[in-house]
Amino acid sequence: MRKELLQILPNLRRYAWSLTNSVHDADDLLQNTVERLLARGMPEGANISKWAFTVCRNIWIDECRARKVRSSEEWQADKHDLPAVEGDRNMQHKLDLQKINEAIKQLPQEQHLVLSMVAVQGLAYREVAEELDIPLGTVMSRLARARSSLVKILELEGGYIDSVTH
Amino acid sequence: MSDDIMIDDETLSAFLDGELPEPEMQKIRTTLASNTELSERLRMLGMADQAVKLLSRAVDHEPLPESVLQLLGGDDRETAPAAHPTTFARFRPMLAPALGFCLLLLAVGLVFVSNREPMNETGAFPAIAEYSAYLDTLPSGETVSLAGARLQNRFSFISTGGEYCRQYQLITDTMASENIACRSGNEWELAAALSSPAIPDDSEFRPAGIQDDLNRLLQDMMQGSALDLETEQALIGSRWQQAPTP
Repeated sequence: MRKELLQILPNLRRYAWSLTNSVHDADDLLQNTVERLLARGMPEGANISKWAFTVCRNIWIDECRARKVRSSEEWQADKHDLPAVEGDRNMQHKLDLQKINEAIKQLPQEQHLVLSMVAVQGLAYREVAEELDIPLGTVMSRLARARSSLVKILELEGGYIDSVTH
Repeated sequence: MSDDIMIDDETLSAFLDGELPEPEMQKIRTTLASNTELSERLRMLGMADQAVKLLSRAVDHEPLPESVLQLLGGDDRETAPAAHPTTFARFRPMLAPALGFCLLLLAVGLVFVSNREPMNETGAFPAIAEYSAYLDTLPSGETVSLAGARLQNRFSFISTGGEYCRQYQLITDTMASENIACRSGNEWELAAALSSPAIPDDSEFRPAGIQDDLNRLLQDMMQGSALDLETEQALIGSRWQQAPTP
């Protein structure tokens, strides 16, 4: 199992990052996920990637609930949430990523989660509905609202969304 | 029209993901071909996704946390290279605006494709005859389920030989394949197929070696940039009968 986890580790980390929007929190989430997987194993015949993503998501949901109960000061995002950019990229690119990051953080948690599962994890709607135990229509509406909210937020930057994706 | 469907953001969002029944998908394609406002809205929703994907890849430049690697008894060099973002994937036109896309030249030489030799199709993937209809009709960025595989058209281009070509991905439970098919007469012929083990639940990743090979092939085959959405839609509407204009 360790070898298989090593193989999917970068993908899993990308997913953790898409959920948390903080490098620090993503790596914490990744560690917690790996620890749980190693401690509890997985059901026989389960797809390790699917299982690992599910565990990661469940830990994140639990952590979100716990944070809401604790002091609100702990919930503030770190100013340095973004990963380091490559040496040949400029500061503008980092600022662009920061804007996208901030836009995604404005989404309600349930929309953010569905968007991550579809856009980052690549799940079909039916799979998202099964994983989250919600109706298919709810998946569709949350996803649509998430996308249209992002369009609205990023459009406010003045044609920003075109520049950041090219 | 008595069978008009309401095309709101929810419908467009589902269309983006190929999650509507095929008759509805076709109706929307027809509507998009003549409705600029709707096309633009679809493009913006697609851009929102691209922004999310772009952001998700940003973390790849950070080394994996040492503590996690130690838990798994490995180091960063042992992790699959497939997770690293590739130049080609970043420029993949999900919903291409009226702009071309650039491919970066690679340091390691170019693969010259002089004549297209008949490709041997492996048994791992459906034969091209099983999905050629989707090469005819499925717009770039859309996904369709086949028997035992999913197909996603990436983009279309005109080859240096003056043929229409499409770059697309096939993915099964265990394998992924990046393919190029070109139109000869009224048939699509497989020009290139680069396969690798699939990473479950993620159709974005391709091993770096595959990506390099694909980039080299495309660099050599493409005449100019990828076709924009409007041009591609017109070609789909005409069943690719319009003569390529360089």
